[in-house]
Amino acid sequence: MSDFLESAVGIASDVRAKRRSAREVTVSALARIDRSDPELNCFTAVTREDALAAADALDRRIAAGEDPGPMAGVPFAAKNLFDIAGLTTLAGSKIQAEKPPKSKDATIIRKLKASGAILLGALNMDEYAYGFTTENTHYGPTRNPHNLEHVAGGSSGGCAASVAAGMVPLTLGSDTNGSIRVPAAFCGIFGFKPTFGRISRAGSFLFVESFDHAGPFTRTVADLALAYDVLHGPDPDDPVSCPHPAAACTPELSKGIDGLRIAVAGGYFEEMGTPEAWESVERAALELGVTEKVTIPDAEAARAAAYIITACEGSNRHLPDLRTRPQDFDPVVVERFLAGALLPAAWYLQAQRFRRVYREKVQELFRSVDVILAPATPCPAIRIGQPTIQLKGVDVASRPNIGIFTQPLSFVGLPIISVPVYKSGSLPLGVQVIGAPHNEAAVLRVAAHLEALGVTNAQVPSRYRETT
Amino acid sequence: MANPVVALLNDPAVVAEVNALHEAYEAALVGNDVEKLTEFFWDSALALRFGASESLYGAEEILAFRKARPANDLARSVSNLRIVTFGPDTAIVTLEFDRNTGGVLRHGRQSQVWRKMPEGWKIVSAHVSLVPEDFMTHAAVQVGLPIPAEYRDGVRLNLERSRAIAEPLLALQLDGSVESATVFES
Repeated sequence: MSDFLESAVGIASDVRAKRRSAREVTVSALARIDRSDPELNCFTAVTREDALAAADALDRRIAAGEDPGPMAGVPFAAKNLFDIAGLTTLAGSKIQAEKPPKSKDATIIRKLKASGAILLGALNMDEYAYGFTTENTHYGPTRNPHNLEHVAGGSSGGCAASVAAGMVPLTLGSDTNGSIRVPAAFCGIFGFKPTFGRISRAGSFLFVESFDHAGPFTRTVADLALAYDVLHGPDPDDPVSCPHPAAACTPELSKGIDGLRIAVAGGYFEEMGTPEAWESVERAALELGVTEKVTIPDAEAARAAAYIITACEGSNRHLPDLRTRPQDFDPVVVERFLAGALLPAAWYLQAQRFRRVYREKVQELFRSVDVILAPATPCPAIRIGQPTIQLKGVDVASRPNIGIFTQPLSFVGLPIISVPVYKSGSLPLGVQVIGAPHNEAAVLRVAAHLEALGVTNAQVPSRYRETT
Repeated sequence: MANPVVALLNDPAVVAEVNALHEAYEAALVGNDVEKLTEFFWDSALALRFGASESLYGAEEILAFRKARPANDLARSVSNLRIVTFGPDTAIVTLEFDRNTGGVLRHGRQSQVWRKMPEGWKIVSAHVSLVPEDFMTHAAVQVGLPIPAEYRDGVRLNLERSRAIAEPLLALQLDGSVESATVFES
């Protein structure tokens, strides 16, 4: 069997046991990037020399008998809104390309490197993370490995497509309204957005400070848990970082779902999407033996509030550039930013105050249930350039509506994994496995169980399985 | 016998005279030549000028306003100029204009009543107004965010879309005691 379907856990185990060198793994991953990225357009920078140097240094440490860390030799890459020492942080924009290179890695990149992982580069995204498709006009669209005419999802599109095509087993993205879960669903891999504040966002280019999250993409649940265990924890450099440490989740994976109360999200989540989006949730529920249905109260208002806060906070950060050089923004984004800068304060404050009420209602719901299942997107990956999708039989603009199922949940910081579900003949879809704040263990256990049942897995398309 | 009023209407010589005065006034306005502008107005307590936001009664108030007015953004392009004269001594000048205010193009209208006094033609009454703008234009001025012409339709569409999406949120009655308290402790 060729090596590209390997997991991070498998690679780390090999490298730690000296069955393979970090250099060997790195060279192989770089070759896959060279072969697949020209048609997928995931990477905006490949840090080849630094990666090989880091791999050699790791191999020397292993030879000297040092512990190389739990991620030894695991190739990874990060959305280009995370600072990488020596690179300019683009955040998908042309304007930021004028800025000098960063001198310091973002906290989560530093943590992964310290655990032995090897950084291979920076990944494409929607400009300033304001989108669900990664149709970036400046750097080109990232394509879906399952069908090149379709989008990879966004805003962390490069993160999802590079993992789905087997280039790397692990990437780091960010999720404000669905930017990890949507591309994970569209590309058919796992994406994990832990509780707000659980993973540091220090050294990332902010989009919406009220609910920007960071998190990993992988092809297995064990890799998600390993990445989470390495990444989470308090960070004095991040003012919204949760100050309380949390336990590691990898030991939880083998516990199964005994004792977990699981339900399906009805109402809004059942009504708004395509039948096939709902089918994937039903399939997961059936396999888990879940019959209970719960209604997340005010989900539509929550989605509205997330939309308004996003527009206001997102545009405020760019007001000086919007005033002086709107023509340098991505044309698919600039009008939303300009409109967002003009929204009334009354809307924004209503949204922030509603968030408190909604958060309490959601926490109340989690007294009677531990995990909720819901579709990740209303439909599978749309075609590149597709202007509209159908919701409840009505044509609506695609870009603002792909996130209708993810937005109401990240809005109050819940930990969520999007797990991939495949049906032959169609593009993959995602099911959101949603937990109460700080109950990462529960969502990882349910995802692991679904994986063990064969309901969910990441399938690398055959064209990317060819060996070099 | 011809109607005496019609015979007195729009005598070409009078119209030409008033048109020349209008052009001189326009030049003085754009150049913020306060002395000339003052001379164009009737030096009387009965003179009147309603501006876009100010109501000025009498020559003294008009002069005080002129002196205090900032000299920026005065350039404007005039359209639909109409001059109607009644006899040799009375005229009404109306026009529409477009003017940049804080980076936003505003549309306005102006009416002047001119009367030939012993000392020459004078504006005895004037009214300038700006056409009320939509929310986007108004908010853009307040935020100091010029919206380039090519984005205006798209921004307007996004505002309408935001309003529609916000509807279920704005319809909620939140209790006065609700505070946002953005903390996420478990």
